[in-house]
Formats: sequence, structure tokens, C-alpha cells
Amino acid sequence: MKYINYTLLAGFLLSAVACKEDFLQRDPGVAITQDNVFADPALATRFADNTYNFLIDDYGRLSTLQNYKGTTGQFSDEAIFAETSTGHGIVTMNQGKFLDNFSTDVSAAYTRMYQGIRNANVVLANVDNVKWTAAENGPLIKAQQLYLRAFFYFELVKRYGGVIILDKALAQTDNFDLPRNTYDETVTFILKDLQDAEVILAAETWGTNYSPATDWGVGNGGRATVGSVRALRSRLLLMDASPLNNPSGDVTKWQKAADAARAIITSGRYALHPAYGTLLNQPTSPEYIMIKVRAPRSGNGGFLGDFVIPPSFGGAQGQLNPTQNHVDLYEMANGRPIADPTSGYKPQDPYTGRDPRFYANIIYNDQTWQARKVAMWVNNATTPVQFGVDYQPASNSFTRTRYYPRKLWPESVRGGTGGASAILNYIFFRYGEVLLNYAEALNEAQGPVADVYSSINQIRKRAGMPDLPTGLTKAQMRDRIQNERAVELAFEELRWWDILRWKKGVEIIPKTITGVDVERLSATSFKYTVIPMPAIYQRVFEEHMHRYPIPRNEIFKSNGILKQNPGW
Amino acid sequence: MQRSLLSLFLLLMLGAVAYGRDADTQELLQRPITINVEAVSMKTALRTLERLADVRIVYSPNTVPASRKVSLNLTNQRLSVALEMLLKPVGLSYQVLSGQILLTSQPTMPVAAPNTNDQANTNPAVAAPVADRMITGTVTDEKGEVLPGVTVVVKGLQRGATTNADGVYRVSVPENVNELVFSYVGYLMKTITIGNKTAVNAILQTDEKSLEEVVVVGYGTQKKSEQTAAISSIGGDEILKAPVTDVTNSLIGRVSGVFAQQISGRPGLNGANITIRGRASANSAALIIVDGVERLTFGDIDPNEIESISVLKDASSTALFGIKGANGVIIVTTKTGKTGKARVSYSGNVGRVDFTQVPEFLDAYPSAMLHNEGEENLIKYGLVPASFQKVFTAQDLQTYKEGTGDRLLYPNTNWFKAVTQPNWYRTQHNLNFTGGSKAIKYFVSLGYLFEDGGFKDFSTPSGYKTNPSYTRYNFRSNLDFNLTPSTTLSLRLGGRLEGRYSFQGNGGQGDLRQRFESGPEYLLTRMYSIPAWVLPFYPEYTNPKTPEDQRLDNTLNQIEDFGRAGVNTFNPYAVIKRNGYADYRNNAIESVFVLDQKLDRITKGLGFRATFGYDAYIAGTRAQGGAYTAYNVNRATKTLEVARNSFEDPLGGVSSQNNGYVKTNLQLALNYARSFGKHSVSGVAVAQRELRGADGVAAPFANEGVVLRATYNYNSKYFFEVNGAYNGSENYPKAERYGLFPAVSAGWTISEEKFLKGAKWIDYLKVRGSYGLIGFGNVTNTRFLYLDEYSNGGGTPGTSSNSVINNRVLFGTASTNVSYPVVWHSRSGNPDVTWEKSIKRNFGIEAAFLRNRMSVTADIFDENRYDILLARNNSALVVFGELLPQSNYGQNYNSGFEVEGSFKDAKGDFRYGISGQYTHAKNRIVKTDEPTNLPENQKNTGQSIGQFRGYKVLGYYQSLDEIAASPPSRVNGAVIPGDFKFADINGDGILDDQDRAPIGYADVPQNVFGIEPNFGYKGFTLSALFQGVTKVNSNVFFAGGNYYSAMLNRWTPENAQNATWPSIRPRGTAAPSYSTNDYLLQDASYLKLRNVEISYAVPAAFAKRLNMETIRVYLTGQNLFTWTKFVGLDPENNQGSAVAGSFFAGPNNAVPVSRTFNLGANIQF
Repeated sequence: MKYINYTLLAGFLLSAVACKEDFLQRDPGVAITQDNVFADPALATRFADNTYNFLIDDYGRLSTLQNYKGTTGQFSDEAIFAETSTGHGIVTMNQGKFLDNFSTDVSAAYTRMYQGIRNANVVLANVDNVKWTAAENGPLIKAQQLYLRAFFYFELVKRYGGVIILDKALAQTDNFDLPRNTYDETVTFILKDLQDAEVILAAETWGTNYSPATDWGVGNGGRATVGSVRALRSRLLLMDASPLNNPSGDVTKWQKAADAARAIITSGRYALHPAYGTLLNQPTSPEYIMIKVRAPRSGNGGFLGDFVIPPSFGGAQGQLNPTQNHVDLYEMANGRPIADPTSGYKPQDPYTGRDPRFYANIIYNDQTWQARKVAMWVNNATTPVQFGVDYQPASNSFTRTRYYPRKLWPESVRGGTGGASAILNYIFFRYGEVLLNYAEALNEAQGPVADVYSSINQIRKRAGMPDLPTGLTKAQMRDRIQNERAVELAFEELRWWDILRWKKGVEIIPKTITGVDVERLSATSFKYTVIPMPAIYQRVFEEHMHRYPIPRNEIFKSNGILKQNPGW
Repeated sequence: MQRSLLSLFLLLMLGAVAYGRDADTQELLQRPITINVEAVSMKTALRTLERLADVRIVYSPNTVPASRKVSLNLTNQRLSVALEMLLKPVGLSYQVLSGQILLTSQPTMPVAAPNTNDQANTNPAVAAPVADRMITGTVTDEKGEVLPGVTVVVKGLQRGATTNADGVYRVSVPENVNELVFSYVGYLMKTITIGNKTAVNAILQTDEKSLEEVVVVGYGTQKKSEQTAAISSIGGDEILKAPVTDVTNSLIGRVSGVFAQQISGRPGLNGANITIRGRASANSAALIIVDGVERLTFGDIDPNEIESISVLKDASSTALFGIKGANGVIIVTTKTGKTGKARVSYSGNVGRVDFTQVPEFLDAYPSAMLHNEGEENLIKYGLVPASFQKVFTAQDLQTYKEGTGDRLLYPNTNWFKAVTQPNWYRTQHNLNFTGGSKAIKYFVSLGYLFEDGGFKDFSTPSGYKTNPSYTRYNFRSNLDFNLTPSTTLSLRLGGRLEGRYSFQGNGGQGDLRQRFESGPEYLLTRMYSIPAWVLPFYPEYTNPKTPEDQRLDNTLNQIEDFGRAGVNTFNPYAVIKRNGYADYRNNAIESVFVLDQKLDRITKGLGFRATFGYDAYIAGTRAQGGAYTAYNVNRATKTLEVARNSFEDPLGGVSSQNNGYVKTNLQLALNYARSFGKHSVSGVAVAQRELRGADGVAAPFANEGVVLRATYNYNSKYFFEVNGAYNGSENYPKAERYGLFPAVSAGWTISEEKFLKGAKWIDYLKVRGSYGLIGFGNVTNTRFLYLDEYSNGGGTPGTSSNSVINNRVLFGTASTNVSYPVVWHSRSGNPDVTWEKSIKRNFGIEAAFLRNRMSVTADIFDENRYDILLARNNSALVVFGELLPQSNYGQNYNSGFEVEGSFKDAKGDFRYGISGQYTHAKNRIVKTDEPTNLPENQKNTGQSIGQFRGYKVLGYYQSLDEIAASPPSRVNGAVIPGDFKFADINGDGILDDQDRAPIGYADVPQNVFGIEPNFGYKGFTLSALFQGVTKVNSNVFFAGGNYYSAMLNRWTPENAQNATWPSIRPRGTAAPSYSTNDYLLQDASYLKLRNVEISYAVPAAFAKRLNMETIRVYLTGQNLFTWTKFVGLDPENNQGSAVAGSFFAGPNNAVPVSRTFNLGANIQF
């Protein structure tokens, strides 16, 4: 009986304990809510800074397998992606499968831009209600959000044409199945945001000497400035005037584009960096209008170690291989294209006497690199056949074209652990591009007038090239400008977009992609044979591909409201 | 009581290795007694003796004059003396049976009792007319264990006897009667013809369908005959038939409704994937309960400790588990002591293990020939420039063919054979003590297990072992104390120490333990893709003895040859030898305390039970990594060159990681069971709560609730049952943490009705059905989905690739920059989030025929799972700009049937039987997160979970003309003649991924079955389990860079008509034919001889001579033979987690399944 009593007593006690409240209250709680964020100017500033993270801001980014691999140059005739796995997102684009899930520049870019737009919209909806203190500058935060939102829409319009314009964040309960705005509406919306941003940026200063009208000063480089607003406007209007978006050849559009570029030139804020070869490797430069600020890069994995640098230089995979098609665009140092019989180009001595930018942009056989000769040759005289250490026929970790991109590989960076790091900037806008924009737009608007020559010759002069010959026709000038852009802006993520806006995809992209076969005849002599690249590296391009399709799943999700681009 | 408490104390102090006092009959009767009682009732005197001698005395009130006054004065006399003095005057006698003293009124025939020289051995007897002949014998069960208390009746007469503690009976039989009938609860009744024998031994077969059989159910036990739910159970003996290290594998093929497959052969990580009645949701893991308390697994319990495993399948049986029950429940019950003399039992076995099915790779010549042909294809069809350099010259191929080449330049290495062993060993030992008295029952078990791995043991410069292994020490002490006649305290204490060891392999993903758990598998998946001609292997330099061998081992055996092998190919031997090791140790203490209090004083049939579980786990992983110098071969100079950036690193520092948590579980229950005439009612009400800690700083898991069961039956004919739980989990918003999960069920025993009662053709017939709602809230990695939160800070920005959203932002310049923290919306909360729900229906029928020798149970079931958590990101347009929160959206339907049956009979000493079961389950996605207008062929809706999809093969492209005339292919890689021609499913004139459609079946089987015939003759038994699955596919096939015999019959222009494989492409080249398609999708069905057991019970007499009670020796085998069309690894390897198209097997199941031949003995002292 005693035991019974004890048991019951214990039982009741335990039951009493069991009734304690909130036994299931175990969640870690919420530290910050949206209300907190915009009640605290410091947190609001941080939320706003995150908007920068949504920009597309590096070269290698397209692969679903390794997020630092794959550049748009590999969509174009600039380079190939040595590895052929579909997951890298290049093969699918090369084959014209823009709708494939692996084509991340179509599918992921669309998502990322709308994520950025949402972040900007959330800030813009709240920015006027935050109780800013002297430590922050509300208007400047607002201007940056406007600029970034414009940038996101620019990335959309250059890919898809007109898109759904959202100027505030949707609620979960809202209808997301919205119709697209037109191309013109989208461009107008971007121009409006740029205008609003520019007005604030030009007027506001922050603290004693931080003025975004010039630069933000120490610790704030890389933020939006008046210059970056104007540079984006220049690029947008150039695209808007180009054949893709200006089928009637409306000259006023070209004039607007020329004016937009000229506004930057006449501001006197920017100048060309003296040495073309080190353009991407400067902490600061008068040529930089806006760059992505990023710490120096090493050759241990990542973009350099696992994408640019081959195993023979200590990297893992040298998969970004410039094409012979690209190499052939470099003129001789005398300013004549290699196709010109008087140029002095010798196919069996192809790397002598070229445009100095060739040597700055390309690594080729038998040049000296990192204190040794680059050996990308085959020696057919020996049995078994011998290969130079920098080329392996059976391995896609080595170059397929026998070229590597010097512009994206600072020589001080060795592959693997222990090598030096070096600055390799991603450039949003630089003055050189603005000069080329100006030359192109002005030539289209007014023909090859003096300003056209002077702009483009500034670029050539800096590179060490002679001036363009005088007396070119408008069409000849157009060709020279287009060639100049291909060479000057090589690997800077512009070539593909230029081809699309020129509407020259069908002409350029399906051209046979070539590399060079290098046969070693002796220690110092080689035989060079231009060879077509394997089929997997060849491209398909059709007229409708000048505009990206809206990602296929978005169309499937929509009840017929979201319309696909023609041809897709 | 003092003794009991003292014993309790001692038992706890000694780790419960001690065992009860009343070890055997002799000792029991010789216990010293000092007693001094005057004129007390006989009953009191007996109770006093009971207490003093710590024995149990049982008698029938009819035979013993309980109220008669007696006196007894003894000092330090034996118990037997005391008993005689008490009993003789009233004409009573006694016998000792199972550690109890049984009082009998009349002397029976004297019973031979070789071990008990007790004069008091009973002789009460029948008023026997004429004892024409005296028959004697021993009764044992199938395993040779003696059965005390078996009733032996002379057929046709009211005369008989029972067996004594040694299973021996003696009975007199008239001349005209020739049969004896043996019966015992839980065993089939057996009739034996006497003939002219004087010794008739009987072996009784267990009656698995016994109506008295008690089955463990949620929060209690139930008689099988009263069940209305779908429950299968399996006993410890069945479990022990399978020589497996992970006891989950014992369930394979033995329990209906259970889909269990062993997916790996890695020691210590080779448990079965178990789902119950198929899948109804992506997470289909069953709830596991051990001794009443939830546990994460039961795979590491020593199988010798297990009494039974119950599998609860329908709503009625699982509703009690409410929010956790919807995937079914597996209840494991460990053994407890049985009243009676102490028994010591040892079992030990040693097994020889090998792989069931290993991948077969082509030798160097055929694979080089295929590679060469692939390259020629590329050249021939212009997929490469004419100047393309092939890997092999004609001369090279000839050298390979002749096999005369220098190994360095012309290797021929079967890497699988190079690094694995043909066979290895496992061993398992268990020693247990069991017994009990009136006051204490105990079961104490010590187990040891060692399982080696299938890799060779190479000597390593750092001295670590390269073969993975698994070591386990199990300990269990299960004690039951009868504190008072109405109070029982039970303790279930289990502990184990596990060591899992392996070479490190190459990494894998995640934290140290996750890397350890996939390291060797990653190595294997890479290794499977190295053709024989790529890397040389010099076995003669492994385990080097001389410095020269050492040097050669460290160079020639470390060749990686990027140029030929390709990046990400490693020298497997070098990785094993030099990359280091990892060791994962797990310590677990799992304890359950149960206090049972009968409350008959309040009202008859009422009881109270408190259960408290306390588990503590500490696990640690320790690893040391190294690196080696890799070499390339310079083929021109035949020399080795150090691969750039590789370096020697013996072993780095020790990295370690510790995990651990504590779990508590409390249950307070009231039970009630009582009969009123023909009405029987019972009820259980439980208040339950559990708190399980989480690793690190994560919030603990908590749940609590109330559980209720009420049953009613009328005349054991009509059964009604209501089960329900009202419980909740910490994982949901405050207002919605609790849910009610009710289920009802009913049964009708038709055979009890007049019209069937006494029917000859059927012995038992019952129908039953259940219906109910159960929840499933145990979805991993989705905690606190209701919280809406912003985070502050952000990760450090990388230097490559696009900025990562929510990382810090850098401003300034590359060389002098400031890192700005960010704030972001880190969690989009859904304030309405709740658990998955399941409506389950079950209808079953149970029948027995042929005097209960044959039984059949059949069930049909279905399940409607809804409110499945899904983030609606695939169906919502991305312009929203943020990930949507998870919401209760998905719905699946699962249905099927299961049948199990058994038949048993005996002819004299020959026993035979067969049992089998078959389960079919198929599921269909009713609603899931996918775009509304997704084309029909791409929709998951309407398909099974895990349904394969791919291209449909129409045939081969026979020519370039045919390719030109066909829709252009944009499937991965360019098309050449001999490639598969795929169907343009959507008819858009282009072949691309939009043309993929459902093909084959899903990645888990629809049907699973097991058939187990068994035979016995005297002490011999033989049983075999055939088990198989059908309607299952696997997308694993040979695209991983290697060449296989299946490729030899490839399409070539000459072999176009008979080809069974597409044209060859060289490894590493995209080939459209290797995109998942219905031709290469593998049929992963199989039939296995899963288990065989041959055992022999040494005759009791012989055992006795060795001072042992029983000796049983056995030969068992697991996974002995496999019949399958599956090529590559074992078909079980490829279930569930195969990586599409790129690997030989999924990264978690690349170690082939193992097969075991096992020899063992079981001895009872």
C-alpha cells in the first residue's frame, strides 16, 4: 500500500510537471523583423547595400557545376569552353538550346535580376520613412537603389527585350502572372530611374569630402556615381540605336547615343590608362568608371586556378581557350588586317609583328610565360608521338585551340597553393568603352567625322597602333570600329552583346570555330595549321536568337499571360 | 523485500552482471531456512517460506487446505526439510518447475529427474487402473531446448503427465492405446504414435499463429486474437537467422508490408533502407520505437537482445503516434528475464564475407580497342579535326593485344581487384544470463561484433590501416523487480560502443563525419571510371620491405597521368595508402525505467504505468589526412615527371569533431482491462512528452501529447477499437502545434459464429478493418518554418564568380577595401505551416485451416497523404523576386495489398513448413509543385515518386542520311550513325529535353516478396529464404568513362542488325545515347537466396555429459545467390540514390553489397 501511495504521488507530481506551459516553445526566436530593419538606419543601410550583390559582376559565372566557370565570350567567336559537359551551360547555348535549364544566362539571370529588383523595391518603398542620422545619407541610398534597379532592368532588356516592370515588391498574395511591358516601356523606365538617380547623385554630398558626383572617396569606391549612371545610359542608348532595336535605322537614336557618350567625355573626369596590358589589374585608374571591387585573386582553384590555368602551370583546368577566329581579328602592328596581302602577315610565323594588344590578350605557343616557353605543340617525329607539356590531346583540361587568355591571367599568378595573388578587376564601365561607343554612334549618326577618328585613334594610340587610315566610308569605318571593339574589349564580356545588338549573330556565330595545330619541327621551328574545332565546339545560331527566350518554365507557369519572344 | 532491494543494489553496482540467487533446483531446495511460526494458517506458513527462501510457491486452492493451522520450528534447515514437514501431514507433495515450487495433491508417477536427486520428486498419480507399460521421453522445441510443463495426454483417456524442469515426462499407457498427445501453449499440438517404443521423444513446433500469442503494439501489448489492426511481427529467433551486422537487414523478406533493401556493403554503414507499405511522401522513414521509447535506429542493437519486432502498418495501430506515425512504426522489444533458474547462454559465430556482385570491367586490350574505335568514329563523322591525335596507334593496340608491353606504358589494371579482397571475416559473440525469481527477473547480455571490410590492408608510410572495419560492443541489462505484489519496476538499460574506421578516400561533402561516411564511396565512383589501360599498378611493391621497393612504391604506384586519365582521376591505391584515415566512434547509453502499479484496489483491472527514458549519445570523428606526390608518364622518354603542384605530406594534424545529445522521454499511463460476462473492455490513456537534444546550438526537438486507446469486444467475436492521439511538436506555430489523430477499427471473428463453429474445413476466420487520420511532422531540415526573419552580417565575399547574395559587400579598391555587412530576409515564414496528414484505410482477413497448420492473412490498404510541405517555387513565377515559404500543398496517393501465409506439418520426426509473403504498393503524385502548363510528358503529377524519365528509343540511326532526314537532335552531343534514335514526344520537330517522358518504373520496387521453406528432422533444421523485388528500375548504367563487356556488341556498320549497344564514343565525349533512355534504363528486379540456415541441436543427453543444457551448431548464409538482369553492382546497391547517368552507382552506395557464410554455435549452460 505504501508503494501504491508513493507511486500515485510521484505520478501526480509528474503530471503536474507535464502541464508546464510552453514545453513546445523551442524556436530560437526572431532577432530582426522587417519593421526593425527600417526603424534602424544602420540596418536599413545594410539591407540597401545587399542590392549590389545581385548585379552580374564577374567573368566566369555560367556553369551550373562550378559557379566560377563559363563566360559569355564562349557563346561568341571569342573563345571556346574546352570541357564539353552540358552542365557548364556553354554547350547548350552553343547548340542554340537557350531554353535548356543549363543555359543559366537565360534562366538564372532572369531570376537573379528580379531578386535584385525586389531588394531595390523594398528599399525604395521604405527609404523615405527611415529616420536617417548624420552617419547615413538617405537620398544617396535611394539614388543607388534607383541606379541598381535600372541596371537590373538593363540586364533584362538586353537579353529578353521588354519585360514585366515592377516598381514595388509584390506581396505573396499578389498575382504574379503579369503581362510583359514593351521594349520601349522598359527602356523608358530605365532612363527614368537613371535620371532620378543622377539628379540626386549630382547634388548630394556626404560628410566632408564624399561626393558621388566625382567619386565616393576612400572605402566607397565601386558605388554608383554620376559617371556610372552616364556610362550605363550610354550603353543602353547604344543598344537602343543598334540594328536589333532600331530596324528602321532611326538616326536620332544614334545621335542620342552619341550625346550620352559625349557627356562623359566632356566631363573630363576620365582618361585612358597608359598601359593597355595592365588595364584590369589596377587598384584605381582614371579609366575606371565603375568596377566590381573584389580582393586580389589567387590561382588556387576558382576562376583562375580551376578555369583559366591549365595543369601544366599548376592549375586544374585551362578551359577558357581563345579561338583562332578571335586571334585573326588582331591587325598587324602596321595597322593592316592580316587578310590584307600587304599586311606582311606570315601564316607560318603568325605571332610576329601583331597589334600589341594581341600580346596583351593571348598566350600562344613558344612564347615565354612564367619563365618558360609555352609548349602547346605535337611532335609527330617521335614514337610514340610526343606532346608539349601545355597540350594533351586526350584531356580537355588543356587548351583545345592552343591559346590561353593572357588578359584574364595575371602572370604573377601561378596555379595551385602558394602562388601570389593579383588584382583582376571585373569592369562594369571604363572610359575606353565610352570612346568606342561614341565613335560607333557618331559614325552612324553623322558618318566618319573627325570626332569619330579622334575617339578611336585615342584607343589605338594607347595600344601602340597607328591611326586609322583617313578617307574611310561610313561602312568601312563601321567595320573598323566593330573590329576595334572586338580587340580592345576582348574577354571583357562585351563581344557577345555587341554581336546580338548588331544583329550579326547569324553572320558571325555559326562560322566555323577554328584553332591552330602546332607541329614541332625542331626546338625553334613549328608548323602552324589552322584547323576547325570539333563539332561540339561549333555553334548554331538562328535569327530569333538575337533575343533570349523568356525561361521556358516561366511560360509554363503562366496562364498564357506571359508571352514568349518570337521564334522560341 | 530486503533481499530484493539488496539484489537490485548489487545488480546496479555490478553492472547487472550478477544474476538471481535461485539458480537451480538443487540450490533452491537447499536454501537454509530458520522459521518459527505457531498455529498459523497453512497459507501464511507457505508465504513466510516464500519470503524467507525467496522462492515462489504455487498451488491450487482446491488441493491445499489453506486455512489449516500449522506450526513449524526450524533452525538453519534446508527448504526441502521445511516443505516436507509442512506438506507430508496433509498428503501433499511438491515439485520444482522453472524455479517455482509447485504443490500437488497426489503422488503421480515418479518422474525421472537425473539432475534432481531430490527424494521429494513428485509422485502424485492418477488413480491408474493398470499401468500396462511405462513410456518416458523428453520434449524439446525445434532448437533443442527442453520444454518444461508440457501436457502429455494418453489419447482417449483422462490420464497424463507434465514434463518436469528438464522436459522429461513419464506416463503409463494401457496396452490398447497407441498414441500420445503433446500440447503446450504457443506450440502446435502434436500426436505421436508409440509403437513398441518405450522412449518417445517429442519436438514441438512453435505455433506462430497462436491465438494466445501476444503482440507488442503501441503503448502496450495485445492478444493476436483481439487485434483489429494490421500488424506484423517477427520473433528474435527469426531475426537471428540472418548473419548480419545491422539488424535492419534481418527484416528483409520476412515481414509483409516492409520494403527493406540493403544498399551498401560498407562495414558499419550497411543497414537497410526500410519503408513500410511503399512511399507516400518524399520522406518515407518509419518511426522506430525501442522498448517504448522513440529511437533514431535499431540497426546497432545486438540481435541476440531482441525479443520481437512489430511493424505497425495501418491507421488503427499508428494513430497513437499521431504526428509521427504516418510512415508506419517499427517497435523493437528487447528480451527480459523469465522466472526460473538462471540460464547462461553463449552464442558465437564466424563468417566469411565477400561481395555479391562486383562490376566487371574490360581488360586493357578490348577497352583500348573500343576507345580507339570511338576516336575513329569522331574522325570518321567529322566531330574532330582531321589532325586529331588518337591515344593509340595500331602498334599500341597490337601490343595491348599481345599483352607484352611494358607495364608503365601499356598498363592493364583491374582497379577493383587491385584494391579489394576476395573475402574477409566477421565475427560475433554474445553471452547472456537470464533467470528470475518472484522478486527479480533479469536478462543481461554482452555482445561483441567485428566486421572487416572488403579492402586490402596495404602498409602505409604513416602506419594506418587501410581496410575499413566496424567494431561494436553491446551491453544490455534488463531487470524487472516485483516490488510488491502489485508493483513492478523495470529497467531496460542498453549501451553500445561502436567504432567505424576507414581510410579517408577522397572527401565528399559536408562536415567531418559526413565526409567520412562518403569518402571511400567517392573514391569508388571515381575508380569505376578508370579503364584498365590508363594507370599501371605494381602489386609487387605494395607493403615494401626494402628501401628500393619503398621508392618504387612511392613513384610507380602514384602515377596519375592527367594527360591520359583526365583531371579528377586519382590513383586509387595512392589515395587509399596516402590520403589518411578517419575513425568515427559512437557511444550510446539508452535506458528506460518503467514503473507498473496495479490499482485493483481502486477498481479491478486498473493499472498505472510510468515510463521514463533517458538516452545519451556521444559521437566523435577523428581524421588525419595526407597527400602524395603524383606522377605523369613521359611516354617518349619512359620516365616519370612529378605532376605540378603535387607534394608529399605524410599525415597532417588530427582534425576531430564531436557530436552528442541527450534525450528524455516521459510517459504516464493509466490502463484498464476487465471482462463483464461476455463483454470485455480495455483502455489505455497516456500522457507523453519527449525532448531530444540537437547537435550544436540547434534547438532541441520536443513533442508531447495524450494518447488514448479503448477496446471493446463481445464474446471474443465482435471487436471494436478506437485509437487516437492529440499531440504536437515544437516545429509549428504556437497556435497550431497540436493535432488530433483518431482512428477506428473493428473485427469480426466469423469462426466463432454458430454456423462455422465446429466446421472441419476452417479453424479460424476473422475480418477486420480500420480507418483513420495520422500525421507526419518529422520532416528533416525544415524547422520552424513559421518564423519570418531578417539576418544581419553575411559571409565573406569570394574572389571568383558573381557576388553571392547576402554576402558582405566590398567597396573601396581591390587592395584597400572595406567589407560592409548586409541585412537580408533570411527566412520567409509561413504562419499557417503544419504537418503532413494521411488518411489510411485497411481491410484484412485472417484465416487458419487444417487444424491451424495453415494460416493466411491478407490486407488491402490505401493511403491519401496530403498537406505535404513544398515550396511553391516551381509553380510561382520568379518575378516575385524571393523564394516562397514552404506550404502544405502536395498530395500523394498510395495503395496496395499484402498477403502472408504459412503452412506447417510433421510426419513423425520429420517436420516441414513453408511461409511466405507478398506486398504490392504503388503511389501516385496527385498534386505537386510544378508549372500549371507543363507539357503532359514532363509532369510529375500522376506519376509515382521517383519515376524515371528519359527518351524513348526507336532504334538506331543506320546512316548519315537517316540522321539528316530525322528531326535535328539537340540532346547532349552530336549524333552519329549507330546512336539511338529518340522519339520526338512533343512533336515539335526537334529532339531535346522536352521530349523526355516517364519511362520504366520508379527507383523503389512496387512488389516485394519472400518465401521461406523449412524442414526439420530430429535435431536438424533447414530453412531457406528466397526474397525478391519486381517493378523497379535504375538509371545507373555505364557512362562513367569506362568500358564494359556490354559494349562489345555495339553498333558498327557491319553489326548493324544485331547490335545491342550504340556506337562507341571515347570516354569523356558527350554521347546522346547515354542520356537516360528506356533502352539503357536497367531493370533492377531480382530474386535472391537471401538467407539459409542449417542447424543441428546436439542431443540433450550428450549435452548433459558436457555439463551443458543445449548445444546447437548452425551454418547460416546471407545474400547467397542473386538472380537478376541487372548489370554492374548488386541490384540493391542502386536503389534510391543513383546519380543520373554519370556514375556507376550513387555516391552513398558504391560499395557492393556483401554476402556472408557463417558458422556458429549456441550453447546454454
